[in-house]
Amino acid sequence: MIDNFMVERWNVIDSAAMAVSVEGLLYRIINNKPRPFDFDDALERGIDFLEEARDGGAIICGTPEASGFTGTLSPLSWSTDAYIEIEFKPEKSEKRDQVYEQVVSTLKEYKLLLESIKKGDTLESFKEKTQSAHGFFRTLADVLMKQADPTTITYSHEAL
Amino acid sequence: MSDFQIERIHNQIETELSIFRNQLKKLEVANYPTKVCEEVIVHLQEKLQGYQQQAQLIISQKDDNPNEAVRKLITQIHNPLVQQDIKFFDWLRGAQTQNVPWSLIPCIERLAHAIIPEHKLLTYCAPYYNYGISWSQSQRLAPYQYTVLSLPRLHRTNVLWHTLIGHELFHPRCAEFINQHNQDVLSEIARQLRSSDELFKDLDEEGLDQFTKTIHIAWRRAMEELLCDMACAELFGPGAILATMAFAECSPIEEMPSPENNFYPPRLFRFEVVWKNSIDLKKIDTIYINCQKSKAINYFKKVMESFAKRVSLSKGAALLKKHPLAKIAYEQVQHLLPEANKFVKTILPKTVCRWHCDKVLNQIPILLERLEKGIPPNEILEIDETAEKQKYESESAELPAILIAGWIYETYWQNKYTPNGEIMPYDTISRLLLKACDDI
Repeated sequence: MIDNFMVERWNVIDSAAMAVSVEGLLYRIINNKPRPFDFDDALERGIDFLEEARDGGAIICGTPEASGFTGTLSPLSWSTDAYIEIEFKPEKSEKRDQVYEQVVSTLKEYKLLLESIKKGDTLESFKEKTQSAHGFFRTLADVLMKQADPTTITYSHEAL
Repeated sequence: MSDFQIERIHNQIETELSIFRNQLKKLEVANYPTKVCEEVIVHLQEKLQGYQQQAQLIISQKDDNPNEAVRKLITQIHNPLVQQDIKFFDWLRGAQTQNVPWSLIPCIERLAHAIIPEHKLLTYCAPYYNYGISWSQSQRLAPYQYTVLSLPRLHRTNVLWHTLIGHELFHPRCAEFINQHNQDVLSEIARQLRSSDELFKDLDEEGLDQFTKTIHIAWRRAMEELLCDMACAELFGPGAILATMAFAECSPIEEMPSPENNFYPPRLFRFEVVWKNSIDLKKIDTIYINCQKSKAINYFKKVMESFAKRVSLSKGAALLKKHPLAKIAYEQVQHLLPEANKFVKTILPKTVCRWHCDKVLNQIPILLERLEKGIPPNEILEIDETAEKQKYESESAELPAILIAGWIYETYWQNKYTPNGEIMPYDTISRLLLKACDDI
Protein backbone atom coordinates (compact mmCIF):
# COMPACT_ATOMS: atom_id res chain seq x y z
CA MET A 1 0.00 0.00 0.00
CA ILE A 2 1.32 3.43 -0.89
CA ASP A 3 0.39 6.14 1.54
CA ASN A 4 2.08 8.98 -0.27
CA PHE A 5 -0.38 11.13 -2.06
CA MET A 6 -1.75 14.57 -2.63
CA VAL A 7 -5.50 15.09 -2.99
CA GLU A 8 -5.78 17.20 -6.13
CA ARG A 9 -7.91 20.32 -6.01
CA TRP A 10 -10.03 18.86 -8.81
CA ASN A 11 -10.24 15.27 -7.60
CA VAL A 12 -12.99 12.90 -8.69
CA ILE A 13 -15.04 13.15 -5.45
CA ASP A 14 -15.11 16.96 -5.38
CA SER A 15 -15.70 17.17 -9.12
CA ALA A 16 -18.64 14.75 -8.98
CA ALA A 17 -20.25 16.89 -6.24
CA MET A 18 -19.66 20.03 -8.32
CA ALA A 19 -21.18 18.49 -11.46
CA VAL A 20 -24.28 17.34 -9.55
CA SER A 21 -24.75 20.80 -8.04
CA VAL A 22 -24.42 22.62 -11.37
CA GLU A 23 -26.66 20.09 -13.09
CA GLY A 24 -29.30 20.63 -10.37
CA LEU A 25 -29.01 24.39 -10.64
CA LEU A 26 -29.47 24.40 -14.43
CA TYR A 27 -32.42 22.00 -14.15
CA ARG A 28 -34.09 24.42 -11.75
CA ILE A 29 -33.50 27.37 -14.12
CA ILE A 30 -34.93 25.46 -17.10
CA ASN A 31 -37.97 24.28 -15.11
CA ASN A 32 -38.61 27.52 -13.21
CA LYS A 33 -37.98 25.95 -9.83
CA PRO A 34 -36.67 27.87 -6.79
CA ARG A 35 -32.93 28.38 -6.45
CA PRO A 36 -31.03 25.56 -4.70
CA PHE A 37 -29.53 26.28 -1.27
CA ASP A 38 -26.02 26.01 -2.76
CA PHE A 39 -26.66 28.33 -5.73
CA ASP A 40 -23.65 30.67 -5.31
CA ASP A 41 -21.22 27.93 -4.36
CA ALA A 42 -22.29 25.71 -7.27
CA LEU A 43 -21.80 28.52 -9.78
CA GLU A 44 -18.43 29.47 -8.33
CA ARG A 45 -17.12 25.92 -8.47
CA GLY A 46 -18.63 25.26 -11.88
CA ILE A 47 -16.85 28.30 -13.29
CA ASP A 48 -13.56 27.28 -11.63
CA PHE A 49 -13.84 23.77 -13.01
CA LEU A 50 -14.55 24.98 -16.57
CA GLU A 51 -11.65 27.40 -16.33
CA GLU A 52 -9.26 24.62 -15.28
CA ALA A 53 -10.54 22.36 -18.09
CA ARG A 54 -10.24 25.18 -20.64
CA ASP A 55 -6.67 26.01 -19.55
CA GLY A 56 -5.76 22.33 -19.77
CA GLY A 57 -7.14 22.35 -23.31
CA ALA A 58 -5.00 25.34 -24.15
CA ILE A 59 -1.97 23.29 -23.12
CA ILE A 60 -2.93 20.46 -25.45
CA CYS A 61 -3.70 22.81 -28.32
CA GLY A 62 -0.53 24.81 -27.65
CA THR A 63 -2.25 28.19 -27.59
CA PRO A 64 -0.73 31.24 -25.82
CA GLU A 65 -3.23 30.92 -22.95
CA ALA A 66 -1.24 27.85 -21.93
CA SER A 67 1.65 29.75 -20.36
CA GLY A 68 1.61 29.62 -16.60
CA PHE A 69 -0.84 26.72 -16.32
CA THR A 70 -0.09 24.87 -13.10
CA GLY A 71 -3.24 22.80 -12.79
CA THR A 72 -4.03 19.27 -13.86
CA LEU A 73 -5.48 17.86 -17.05
CA SER A 74 -8.15 15.81 -15.25
CA PRO A 75 -10.99 18.36 -15.69
CA LEU A 76 -10.24 18.53 -19.43
CA SER A 77 -10.09 14.78 -19.72
CA TRP A 78 -13.43 14.25 -17.88
CA SER A 79 -15.06 17.09 -19.84
CA THR A 80 -13.90 15.56 -23.11
CA ASP A 81 -15.37 12.18 -22.12
CA ALA A 82 -18.71 13.85 -21.34
CA TYR A 83 -18.63 15.96 -24.51
CA ILE A 84 -17.94 12.98 -26.75
CA GLU A 85 -20.62 10.92 -25.05
CA ILE A 86 -23.41 13.43 -25.58
CA GLU A 87 -22.94 15.18 -28.82
CA PHE A 88 -19.84 14.44 -30.73
CA LYS A 89 -18.48 11.34 -32.40
CA PRO A 90 -15.10 12.21 -33.88
CA GLU A 91 -14.36 10.95 -37.37
CA LYS A 92 -11.39 8.63 -37.53
CA SER A 93 -9.61 11.04 -39.81
CA GLU A 94 -10.27 13.98 -37.51
CA LYS A 95 -7.15 15.19 -35.81
CA ARG A 96 -7.14 14.91 -32.05
CA ASP A 97 -6.14 18.57 -31.69
CA GLN A 98 -9.28 19.59 -33.56
CA VAL A 99 -11.43 17.60 -31.12
CA TYR A 100 -9.81 19.38 -28.19
CA GLU A 101 -10.29 22.74 -29.91
CA GLN A 102 -14.03 22.05 -30.17
CA VAL A 103 -14.20 20.90 -26.55
CA VAL A 104 -12.36 24.02 -25.39
CA SER A 105 -14.62 26.28 -27.41
CA THR A 106 -17.74 24.62 -25.91
CA LEU A 107 -16.35 24.87 -22.39
CA LYS A 108 -15.74 28.57 -22.93
CA GLU A 109 -19.38 29.02 -23.91
CA TYR A 110 -20.59 27.15 -20.83
CA LYS A 111 -18.33 29.24 -18.64
CA LEU A 112 -19.79 32.42 -20.14
CA LEU A 113 -23.27 31.03 -19.48
CA LEU A 114 -22.54 30.34 -15.79
CA GLU A 115 -21.00 33.80 -15.45
CA SER A 116 -24.14 35.34 -16.96
CA ILE A 117 -26.34 33.42 -14.53
CA LYS A 118 -24.11 34.60 -11.70
CA LYS A 119 -24.60 38.20 -12.86
CA GLY A 120 -28.36 37.62 -12.87
CA ASP A 121 -28.92 37.99 -16.64
CA THR A 122 -32.30 36.86 -17.98
CA LEU A 123 -32.67 33.34 -19.31
CA GLU A 124 -34.51 33.92 -22.62
CA SER A 125 -31.43 34.90 -24.60
CA PHE A 126 -29.53 31.73 -23.72
CA LYS A 127 -32.24 29.12 -23.22
CA GLU A 128 -30.79 26.72 -25.76
CA LYS A 129 -27.31 27.03 -24.32
CA THR A 130 -28.70 26.30 -20.83
CA GLN A 131 -30.31 23.09 -22.12
CA SER A 132 -27.04 22.04 -23.71
CA ALA A 133 -25.00 22.90 -20.58
CA HIS A 134 -27.48 20.96 -18.43
CA GLY A 135 -26.97 17.89 -20.63
CA PHE A 136 -23.23 18.31 -20.38
CA PHE A 137 -23.16 18.58 -16.57
CA ARG A 138 -25.62 15.70 -16.20
CA THR A 139 -23.37 13.46 -18.29
CA LEU A 140 -20.28 14.74 -16.51
CA ALA A 141 -21.95 13.95 -13.16
CA ASP A 142 -22.78 10.43 -14.37
CA VAL A 143 -19.21 9.83 -15.53
CA LEU A 144 -17.70 11.14 -12.29
CA MET A 145 -20.20 9.48 -9.94
CA LYS A 146 -19.27 6.13 -11.45
CA GLN A 147 -15.59 6.84 -10.87
CA ALA A 148 -16.15 8.20 -7.35
CA ASP A 149 -18.29 5.28 -6.22
CA PRO A 150 -16.50 3.70 -3.23
CA THR A 151 -17.66 0.20 -4.10
CA THR A 152 -15.85 0.29 -7.43
CA ILE A 153 -12.78 2.18 -6.20
CA THR A 154 -11.93 -0.50 -3.65
CA TYR A 155 -12.14 -4.15 -4.61
CA SER A 156 -14.03 -6.52 -2.35
CA HIS A 157 -12.09 -9.50 -3.71
CA GLU A 158 -8.56 -8.18 -3.39
CA ALA A 159 -6.06 -10.97 -2.72
CA LEU A 160 -4.35 -10.80 0.65
CA MET B 1 -36.64 8.23 -7.65
CA SER B 2 -39.28 7.50 -5.00
CA ASP B 3 -39.59 9.20 -1.62
CA PHE B 4 -38.90 5.80 -0.07
CA GLN B 5 -35.51 5.61 -1.78
CA ILE B 6 -34.58 9.14 -0.71
CA GLU B 7 -35.54 8.30 2.85
CA ARG B 8 -33.41 5.15 2.80
CA ILE B 9 -30.34 7.07 1.63
CA HIS B 10 -31.03 9.87 4.11
CA ASN B 11 -31.38 7.38 6.97
CA GLN B 12 -28.20 5.59 5.97
CA ILE B 13 -26.29 8.86 5.97
CA GLU B 14 -27.73 9.85 9.37
CA THR B 15 -26.59 6.46 10.73
CA GLU B 16 -23.12 6.89 9.25
CA LEU B 17 -22.82 10.33 10.82
CA SER B 18 -23.95 8.99 14.17
CA ILE B 19 -21.44 6.08 14.13
CA PHE B 20 -18.68 8.46 13.06
CA ARG B 21 -19.53 10.77 15.97
CA ASN B 22 -19.38 7.89 18.47
CA GLN B 23 -16.02 6.73 17.14
CA LEU B 24 -14.68 10.26 17.56
CA LYS B 25 -15.84 10.29 21.19
CA LYS B 26 -13.78 7.15 21.81
CA LEU B 27 -10.75 8.66 20.09
CA GLU B 28 -11.16 11.82 22.15
CA VAL B 29 -10.28 10.07 25.43
CA ALA B 30 -6.93 8.69 24.23
CA ASN B 31 -3.55 10.35 24.85
CA TYR B 32 -1.70 12.14 22.09
CA PRO B 33 1.83 13.56 22.28
CA THR B 34 0.85 17.07 21.11
CA LYS B 35 -2.29 19.19 20.68
CA VAL B 36 -2.65 18.56 16.91
CA CYS B 37 -4.81 15.44 17.23
CA GLU B 38 -7.19 17.13 19.64
CA GLU B 39 -7.57 19.93 17.08
CA VAL B 40 -8.26 17.34 14.37
CA ILE B 41 -11.02 15.78 16.47
CA VAL B 42 -12.69 19.16 17.05
CA HIS B 43 -12.40 19.89 13.33
CA LEU B 44 -14.04 16.56 12.46
CA GLN B 45 -16.87 17.17 14.93
CA GLU B 46 -17.56 20.52 13.23
CA LYS B 47 -17.40 18.83 9.85
CA LEU B 48 -20.03 16.28 10.94
CA GLN B 49 -22.28 19.09 12.12
CA GLY B 50 -21.87 20.71 8.70
CA TYR B 51 -22.86 17.46 6.97
CA GLN B 52 -25.93 17.17 9.15
CA GLN B 53 -27.10 20.70 8.26
CA GLN B 54 -26.37 20.07 4.59
CA ALA B 55 -28.45 16.88 4.63
CA GLN B 56 -31.37 18.79 6.09
CA LEU B 57 -31.11 21.48 3.40
CA ILE B 58 -31.00 18.84 0.67
CA ILE B 59 -34.05 17.08 2.08
CA SER B 60 -35.92 20.38 2.43
CA GLN B 61 -35.61 20.90 -1.36
CA LYS B 62 -36.21 17.31 -2.42
CA ASP B 63 -39.69 17.89 -3.84
CA ASP B 64 -38.35 20.23 -6.57
CA ASN B 65 -36.15 17.49 -7.99
CA PRO B 66 -35.86 14.18 -6.11
CA ASN B 67 -33.06 12.98 -8.37
CA GLU B 68 -30.95 16.03 -7.49
CA ALA B 69 -31.53 15.39 -3.78
CA VAL B 70 -30.32 11.81 -4.01
CA ARG B 71 -27.26 12.71 -6.05
CA LYS B 72 -26.37 15.51 -3.66
CA LEU B 73 -26.69 13.27 -0.60
CA ILE B 74 -24.34 10.79 -2.24
CA THR B 75 -21.74 13.16 -3.68
CA GLN B 76 -21.68 15.87 -1.02
CA ILE B 77 -21.91 13.75 2.13
CA HIS B 78 -21.73 9.97 1.69
CA ASN B 79 -18.73 9.78 -0.67
CA PRO B 80 -16.40 12.18 1.17
CA LEU B 81 -17.40 10.68 4.54
CA VAL B 82 -16.87 7.01 3.72
CA GLN B 83 -13.84 7.48 1.51
CA GLN B 84 -11.84 10.36 2.92
CA ASP B 85 -12.96 11.49 6.39
CA ILE B 86 -12.91 7.92 7.63
CA LYS B 87 -9.14 7.75 7.08
CA PHE B 88 -8.75 9.90 10.18
CA PHE B 89 -9.77 6.93 12.36
CA ASP B 90 -6.60 5.03 11.42
CA TRP B 91 -4.49 8.17 11.47
CA LEU B 92 -5.68 9.15 14.94
CA ARG B 93 -5.29 5.64 16.37
CA GLY B 94 -1.79 5.43 14.91
CA ALA B 95 -0.96 8.87 16.34
CA GLN B 96 -1.75 7.98 19.96
CA THR B 97 1.13 8.36 22.39
CA GLN B 98 1.73 4.62 22.82
CA ASN B 99 1.83 4.11 19.04
CA VAL B 100 4.38 6.75 18.00
CA PRO B 101 7.94 7.71 18.99
CA TRP B 102 6.30 10.31 21.22
CA SER B 103 9.46 12.13 22.29
CA LEU B 104 10.38 12.79 18.66
CA ILE B 105 6.95 14.16 17.66
CA PRO B 106 7.51 17.75 18.92
CA CYS B 107 10.86 17.84 17.01
CA ILE B 108 9.11 16.64 13.85
CA GLU B 109 6.36 19.23 14.26
CA ARG B 110 8.90 22.03 14.75
CA LEU B 111 10.75 20.99 11.61
CA ALA B 112 7.48 20.72 9.67
CA HIS B 113 6.43 24.17 10.85
CA ALA B 114 9.65 25.59 9.39
CA ILE B 115 9.50 23.71 6.06
CA ILE B 116 5.75 23.74 5.42
CA PRO B 117 4.44 26.53 7.66
CA GLU B 118 0.95 26.52 6.19
CA HIS B 119 0.34 22.86 7.00
CA LYS B 120 -0.57 21.35 10.36
CA LEU B 121 1.20 18.05 10.82
CA LEU B 122 -0.30 14.85 12.17
CA THR B 123 2.30 12.08 12.58
CA TYR B 124 1.27 8.44 12.94
CA CYS B 125 2.76 4.98 12.64
CA ALA B 126 1.33 2.94 9.80
CA PRO B 127 1.19 -0.86 9.47
CA TYR B 128 3.41 -0.98 6.41
CA TYR B 129 7.07 -0.71 5.63
CA ASN B 130 7.41 2.79 4.27
CA TYR B 131 7.52 6.46 5.07
CA GLY B 132 4.80 8.58 3.51
CA ILE B 133 3.17 11.97 3.47
CA SER B 134 -0.34 12.97 2.41
CA TRP B 135 -1.90 16.37 1.97
CA SER B 136 -4.83 17.94 0.18
CA GLN B 137 -5.30 20.81 -2.22
CA SER B 138 -9.04 20.39 -1.93
CA GLN B 139 -10.88 22.61 0.53
CA ARG B 140 -13.42 19.86 1.18
CA LEU B 141 -11.57 16.57 1.21
CA ALA B 142 -9.42 15.05 3.92
CA PRO B 143 -6.85 15.54 5.16
CA TYR B 144 -8.07 19.20 4.61
CA GLN B 145 -5.54 21.64 6.03
CA TYR B 146 -3.64 18.83 7.75
CA THR B 147 -0.66 17.02 6.39
CA VAL B 148 -0.32 13.43 7.49
CA LEU B 149 3.12 11.93 7.94
CA SER B 150 3.44 8.17 8.35
CA LEU B 151 6.31 6.21 9.88
CA PRO B 152 6.70 2.41 9.62
CA ARG B 153 5.10 0.89 12.72
CA LEU B 154 7.59 -1.93 13.20
CA HIS B 155 10.39 0.64 13.36
CA ARG B 156 8.51 3.01 15.65
CA THR B 157 11.43 3.66 17.99
CA ASN B 158 14.10 3.54 15.31
CA VAL B 159 14.89 7.23 15.49
CA LEU B 160 17.93 6.90 13.21
CA TRP B 161 15.73 5.82 10.32
CA HIS B 162 13.36 8.67 11.11
CA THR B 163 16.05 10.96 9.70
CA LEU B 164 14.03 10.36 6.53
CA ILE B 165 11.35 12.77 7.76
CA GLY B 166 13.60 15.43 6.19
CA HIS B 167 12.80 13.83 2.83
CA GLU B 168 9.07 13.43 3.44
CA LEU B 169 8.44 16.93 4.78
CA PHE B 170 9.83 18.48 1.62
CA HIS B 171 7.32 16.73 -0.69
CA PRO B 172 4.66 19.47 -0.46
CA ARG B 173 7.26 22.06 -1.56
CA CYS B 174 8.32 20.27 -4.78
CA ALA B 175 5.53 21.67 -6.96
CA GLU B 176 7.02 25.16 -6.64
CA PHE B 177 10.12 24.03 -8.52
CA ILE B 178 8.43 21.59 -10.87
CA ASN B 179 5.78 24.09 -12.01
CA GLN B 180 8.51 26.55 -12.98
CA HIS B 181 10.00 24.06 -15.44
CA ASN B 182 7.00 21.92 -16.37
CA GLN B 183 6.15 23.55 -19.69
CA ASP B 184 9.71 23.78 -21.00
CA VAL B 185 10.40 20.17 -20.10
CA LEU B 186 7.14 18.97 -21.67
CA SER B 187 7.95 20.79 -24.92
CA GLU B 188 11.51 19.48 -24.94
CA ILE B 189 10.36 15.89 -24.38
CA ALA B 190 7.85 16.20 -27.25
CA ARG B 191 10.53 17.75 -29.49
CA GLN B 192 13.06 15.01 -28.75
CA LEU B 193 10.53 12.25 -29.41
CA ARG B 194 9.49 13.76 -32.72
CA SER B 195 13.03 14.37 -33.89
CA SER B 196 14.15 10.87 -32.98
CA ASP B 197 15.01 9.11 -36.23
CA GLU B 198 15.11 5.50 -35.09
CA LEU B 199 12.99 4.14 -32.31
CA PHE B 200 9.93 6.37 -32.44
CA LYS B 201 9.74 7.13 -36.14
CA ASP B 202 6.82 4.76 -36.84
CA LEU B 203 4.58 6.13 -34.09
CA ASP B 204 1.45 8.11 -34.95
CA GLU B 205 0.44 11.29 -33.08
CA GLU B 206 -1.47 9.37 -30.44
CA GLY B 207 1.48 7.05 -29.78
CA LEU B 208 3.86 9.99 -29.51
CA ASP B 209 1.49 11.72 -27.09
CA GLN B 210 1.32 8.61 -24.94
CA PHE B 211 5.11 8.37 -24.75
CA THR B 212 5.40 12.11 -24.06
CA LYS B 213 3.00 11.70 -21.15
CA THR B 214 4.88 8.70 -19.73
CA ILE B 215 8.29 10.36 -20.01
CA HIS B 216 6.90 13.52 -18.48
CA ILE B 217 5.58 11.58 -15.46
CA ALA B 218 8.96 9.86 -15.08
CA TRP B 219 10.68 13.28 -15.12
CA ARG B 220 8.27 14.75 -12.56
CA ARG B 221 8.54 11.78 -10.20
CA ALA B 222 12.34 11.82 -10.46
CA MET B 223 12.45 15.54 -9.68
CA GLU B 224 10.14 15.10 -6.68
CA GLU B 225 12.23 12.35 -5.13
CA LEU B 226 15.55 14.03 -5.88
CA LEU B 227 14.43 17.40 -4.50
CA CYS B 228 13.34 15.65 -1.29
CA ASP B 229 16.61 13.68 -1.12
CA MET B 230 18.55 16.90 -1.52
CA ALA B 231 16.50 18.59 1.21
CA CYS B 232 17.12 15.68 3.59
CA ALA B 233 20.84 15.80 2.78
CA GLU B 234 20.92 19.57 3.30
CA LEU B 235 19.44 19.06 6.79
CA PHE B 236 21.12 15.89 7.97
CA GLY B 237 24.10 15.36 5.59
CA PRO B 238 25.69 11.94 6.10
CA GLY B 239 22.78 11.02 8.40
CA ALA B 240 20.42 11.33 5.40
CA ILE B 241 22.64 9.10 3.27
CA LEU B 242 23.02 6.43 5.94
CA ALA B 243 19.29 6.47 6.72
CA THR B 244 18.37 6.04 3.05
CA MET B 245 20.91 3.23 2.71
CA ALA B 246 19.69 1.44 5.83
CA PHE B 247 16.02 1.76 4.91
CA ALA B 248 16.65 0.54 1.35
CA GLU B 249 18.98 -2.29 2.35
CA CYS B 250 16.41 -4.97 1.49
CA SER B 251 15.24 -3.30 -1.74
CA PRO B 252 16.71 -3.33 -5.26
CA ILE B 253 18.81 -0.26 -5.95
CA GLU B 254 19.02 -0.45 -9.71
CA GLU B 255 15.33 -0.86 -10.51
CA MET B 256 14.31 1.27 -13.48
CA PRO B 257 11.39 3.73 -13.16
CA SER B 258 8.10 2.27 -14.41
CA PRO B 259 4.35 2.58 -13.81
CA GLU B 260 4.58 -0.48 -11.52
CA ASN B 261 6.90 1.31 -9.08
CA ASN B 262 5.22 4.72 -9.41
CA PHE B 263 8.20 5.85 -11.51
CA TYR B 264 10.60 5.91 -8.56
CA PRO B 265 14.08 6.84 -9.73
CA PRO B 266 16.66 4.06 -9.11
CA ARG B 267 18.12 4.40 -5.62
CA LEU B 268 21.65 4.09 -6.94
CA PHE B 269 21.08 7.16 -9.11
CA ARG B 270 19.56 9.00 -6.13
CA PHE B 271 22.68 8.26 -4.07
CA GLU B 272 24.89 9.55 -6.88
CA VAL B 273 22.91 12.77 -7.21
CA VAL B 274 22.87 13.52 -3.49
CA TRP B 275 26.56 12.77 -3.01
CA LYS B 276 27.66 14.87 -5.96
CA ASN B 277 25.30 17.81 -5.47
CA SER B 278 24.43 18.13 -1.81
CA ILE B 279 27.31 16.90 0.34
CA ASP B 280 30.21 19.20 1.15
CA LEU B 281 33.14 16.80 1.46
CA LYS B 282 35.19 19.29 3.47
CA LYS B 283 32.53 19.22 6.16
CA ILE B 284 32.67 15.41 6.23
CA ASP B 285 36.44 15.76 6.75
CA THR B 286 35.73 18.14 9.63
CA ILE B 287 33.60 15.43 11.26
CA TYR B 288 36.50 12.93 10.90
CA ILE B 289 38.92 15.40 12.48
CA ASN B 290 36.58 16.53 15.27
CA CYS B 291 35.72 12.97 16.25
CA GLN B 292 39.20 11.47 15.95
CA LYS B 293 39.24 10.48 19.64
CA SER B 294 36.20 8.26 19.16
CA LYS B 295 36.59 4.56 18.52
CA ALA B 296 33.59 4.75 16.20
CA ILE B 297 34.92 7.29 13.74
CA ASN B 298 37.07 4.89 11.71
CA TYR B 299 34.07 2.66 11.04
CA PHE B 300 32.04 5.67 9.96
CA LYS B 301 34.91 6.81 7.71
CA LYS B 302 35.14 3.37 6.15
CA VAL B 303 31.41 3.33 5.36
CA MET B 304 31.52 6.83 3.87
CA GLU B 305 34.59 6.04 1.75
CA SER B 306 33.03 2.87 0.46
CA PHE B 307 29.88 4.82 -0.39
CA ALA B 308 31.93 7.51 -2.18
CA LYS B 309 33.68 4.84 -4.23
CA ARG B 310 30.41 3.21 -5.16
CA VAL B 311 28.77 6.40 -6.38
CA SER B 312 31.88 7.67 -8.15
CA LEU B 313 31.33 5.00 -10.82
CA SER B 314 28.05 6.70 -11.87
CA LYS B 315 26.54 3.31 -12.66
CA GLY B 316 23.03 4.53 -11.86
CA ALA B 317 23.25 7.37 -14.42
CA ALA B 318 24.75 4.98 -16.97
CA LEU B 319 21.89 2.50 -16.51
CA LEU B 320 19.30 5.18 -17.18
CA LYS B 321 21.03 6.15 -20.43
CA LYS B 322 20.56 2.62 -21.77
CA HIS B 323 16.78 2.85 -21.58
CA PRO B 324 15.37 4.94 -24.47
CA LEU B 325 12.47 6.53 -22.54
CA ALA B 326 14.35 7.02 -19.26
CA LYS B 327 17.22 8.55 -21.23
CA ILE B 328 15.02 11.40 -22.46
CA ALA B 329 13.43 11.97 -19.02
CA TYR B 330 16.70 11.89 -17.12
CA GLU B 331 18.54 14.19 -19.54
CA GLN B 332 16.04 16.82 -18.42
CA VAL B 333 16.61 15.81 -14.80
CA GLN B 334 20.41 16.10 -15.09
CA HIS B 335 20.08 19.48 -16.74
CA LEU B 336 18.05 20.85 -13.79
CA LEU B 337 20.04 19.36 -10.90
CA PRO B 338 22.22 22.41 -10.11
CA GLU B 339 19.16 24.64 -10.11
CA ALA B 340 17.23 22.12 -7.99
CA ASN B 341 20.02 22.07 -5.44
CA LYS B 342 20.03 25.86 -5.30
CA PHE B 343 16.23 25.87 -4.92
CA VAL B 344 16.36 23.48 -1.96
CA LYS B 345 19.04 25.50 -0.18
CA THR B 346 17.13 28.74 -0.72
CA ILE B 347 13.69 27.50 0.19
CA LEU B 348 14.70 25.89 3.49
CA PRO B 349 14.41 28.75 5.97
CA LYS B 350 17.57 30.06 7.64
CA THR B 351 16.08 29.26 11.03
CA VAL B 352 16.33 25.53 10.30
CA CYS B 353 19.57 24.10 11.65
CA ARG B 354 21.66 22.29 9.01
CA TRP B 355 24.29 19.61 9.50
CA HIS B 356 27.15 21.65 8.03
CA CYS B 357 26.93 24.66 10.35
CA ASP B 358 29.79 25.06 12.84
CA LYS B 359 27.52 24.61 15.84
CA VAL B 360 26.44 21.14 14.71
CA LEU B 361 29.94 20.09 13.62
CA ASN B 362 31.26 21.07 17.05
CA GLN B 363 28.48 19.30 18.92
CA ILE B 364 28.86 15.95 17.12
CA PRO B 365 32.03 14.70 18.93
CA ILE B 366 30.65 15.65 22.34
CA LEU B 367 27.32 13.94 21.71
CA LEU B 368 29.08 10.89 20.29
CA GLU B 369 31.14 10.61 23.47
CA ARG B 370 27.98 10.75 25.59
CA LEU B 371 26.36 8.06 23.48
CA GLU B 372 29.41 5.80 23.78
CA LYS B 373 29.08 6.11 27.56
CA GLY B 374 25.38 5.24 27.45
CA ILE B 375 24.25 8.80 28.24
CA PRO B 376 21.50 10.45 26.14
CA PRO B 377 23.21 12.82 23.67
CA ASN B 378 20.98 15.77 24.51
CA GLU B 379 23.24 18.59 25.70
CA ILE B 380 26.70 20.10 25.66
CA LEU B 381 27.90 20.59 29.21
CA GLU B 382 30.75 22.96 29.93
CA ILE B 383 32.25 23.01 33.39
CA ASP B 384 34.10 26.11 34.50
CA GLU B 385 36.55 24.80 37.10
CA THR B 386 38.46 28.05 37.41
CA ALA B 387 35.61 29.72 39.30
CA GLU B 388 35.48 29.45 43.08
CA LYS B 389 32.45 27.25 42.88
CA GLN B 390 32.27 24.96 39.81
CA LYS B 391 29.89 26.43 37.22
CA TYR B 392 27.96 24.40 34.64
CA GLU B 393 26.97 25.87 31.28
CA SER B 394 24.56 23.81 29.22
CA GLU B 395 23.69 24.09 25.55
CA SER B 396 20.89 22.07 23.95
CA ALA B 397 21.91 19.63 21.25
CA GLU B 398 20.70 20.27 17.72
CA LEU B 399 18.67 17.52 16.00
CA PRO B 400 21.17 17.06 13.09
CA ALA B 401 24.00 16.70 15.62
CA ILE B 402 22.09 14.06 17.62
CA LEU B 403 21.27 12.08 14.50
CA ILE B 404 24.75 12.24 12.98
CA ALA B 405 26.35 11.26 16.29
CA GLY B 406 23.87 8.39 16.39
CA TRP B 407 24.72 7.30 12.87
CA ILE B 408 28.46 7.38 13.56
CA TYR B 409 27.87 5.15 16.56
CA GLU B 410 25.63 2.90 14.46
CA THR B 411 28.49 2.16 12.02
CA TYR B 412 30.60 1.04 14.97
CA TRP B 413 27.71 -0.98 16.40
CA GLN B 414 27.15 -2.78 13.08
CA ASN B 415 30.76 -4.00 13.19
CA LYS B 416 31.14 -4.73 16.85
CA TYR B 417 27.81 -5.89 18.21
CA THR B 418 27.59 -9.34 19.73
CA PRO B 419 24.80 -10.36 22.06
CA ASN B 420 27.16 -10.87 25.03
CA GLY B 421 26.23 -7.56 26.63
CA GLU B 422 29.52 -5.75 25.99
CA ILE B 423 27.87 -3.36 23.60
CA MET B 424 24.38 -2.02 24.09
CA PRO B 425 21.66 -3.46 21.85
CA TYR B 426 20.24 -1.41 18.98
CA ASP B 427 17.04 -0.73 20.88
CA THR B 428 19.04 0.91 23.68
CA ILE B 429 20.75 3.22 21.18
CA SER B 430 17.33 4.16 19.84
CA ARG B 431 15.99 4.87 23.32
CA LEU B 432 19.00 7.01 24.26
CA LEU B 433 18.52 9.02 21.08
CA LEU B 434 14.79 9.35 21.69
CA LYS B 435 15.49 10.56 25.23
CA ALA B 436 17.84 13.14 23.75
CA CYS B 437 15.13 14.34 21.37
CA ASP B 438 12.71 14.60 24.26
CA ASP B 439 15.01 17.03 26.03
CA ILE B 440 15.77 19.48 23.23
